[in-house]
Amino acid sequence: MRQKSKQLEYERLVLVYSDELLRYALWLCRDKNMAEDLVQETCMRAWKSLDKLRDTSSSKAWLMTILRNEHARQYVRYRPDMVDLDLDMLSLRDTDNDTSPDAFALKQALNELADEYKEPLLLQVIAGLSCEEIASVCGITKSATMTRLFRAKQKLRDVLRPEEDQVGK
Amino acid sequence: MKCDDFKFEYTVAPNEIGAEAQNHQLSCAECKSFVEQQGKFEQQLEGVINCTVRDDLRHSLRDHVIRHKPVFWGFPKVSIALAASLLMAVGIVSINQAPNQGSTQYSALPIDQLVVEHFEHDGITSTNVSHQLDPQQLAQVSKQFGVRVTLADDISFAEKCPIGDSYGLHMVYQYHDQPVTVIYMPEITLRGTLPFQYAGLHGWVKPLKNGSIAVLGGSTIEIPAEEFADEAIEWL
Repeated sequence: MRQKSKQLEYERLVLVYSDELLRYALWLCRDKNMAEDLVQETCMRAWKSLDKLRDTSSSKAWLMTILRNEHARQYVRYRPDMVDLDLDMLSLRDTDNDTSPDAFALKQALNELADEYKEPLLLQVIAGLSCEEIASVCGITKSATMTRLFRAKQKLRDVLRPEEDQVGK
Repeated sequence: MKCDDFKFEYTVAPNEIGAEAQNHQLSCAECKSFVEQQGKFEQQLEGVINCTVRDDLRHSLRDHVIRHKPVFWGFPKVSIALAASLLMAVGIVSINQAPNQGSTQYSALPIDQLVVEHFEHDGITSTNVSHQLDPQQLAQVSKQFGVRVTLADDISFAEKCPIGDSYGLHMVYQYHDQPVTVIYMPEITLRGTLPFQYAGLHGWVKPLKNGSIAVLGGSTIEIPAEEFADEAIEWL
């Protein structure tokens, strides 16, 4: 791939997907600075291996896979020491706008979800990946992805149900 | 299809439900109401998960790579000599083999998809501006493409943006008080006009003397007829 084309393709990827990458990174790292570093490293790796991207229609899933692998490589071992619930909520409060009780409850429930359920959900909501793409990013089958998405959403809906019932009454 | 099966399929991925589920949704009142509730929930979830990202992130990511690109002369000269020898050897072998596939990957991406993909990036922010753009600023950007925009009075946004493997002139034109996105792509050609309607957008891409022009907007926005393309820009 010629240098100019590579540069343009890289810019296109950064332009289109950087927001999604950062959002996903924020949920993985639960810290703004760490998330930005992770996205930066992901972009660096993407730049280095851009020649390996054969199918541009899967570039979003490709980038998410790089980010996920990079996170596993660099950050997972630091998490238990650096993140407790308070820090968690603090950093999340710092990064979004919805401060309603429902949103808070959802956020907390999302935080408490096991990673195996949370990851497919985040990839669907943040990156808009299909079940098949999520399966390839997470290295699981499509049916396992579907089951995990269903359970994750069901669990989160349950958090809101008591409120809905009260409103109904 | 049973209601429980529909609910499972819809909960998992509302955008991926099959034809059978779609038909079920139309005919079942219980599932219709489920879809409404689920829609609200998905919106709530999206609001919680998706946070605001600072505007300069993408610029800092571009700069990061540019700063860290390996400098050619920074490599030891012996390595360069070895690499050159290896490349020459590979080249000699390749000459005797079948021609490679040549074109870059993204050029295979359909032109309408390129346009929609670009719109997804800054379509919302670009259409938020409703006042007229400084004519000098517009002239400056369009000059880089060797064109003059004849609709200057109604242009509210103009920027040089990467589209596919080249650059395009991304503009927002206020048509009947509605923002319509116009992208002139000097290096992307096509044989005939290509109408499209997907991803909540509709529009068309039309070939020009040099390159092509895309006109698109949200599904409820009225967009100009194809003749618009012939009047929108002039070559310098």
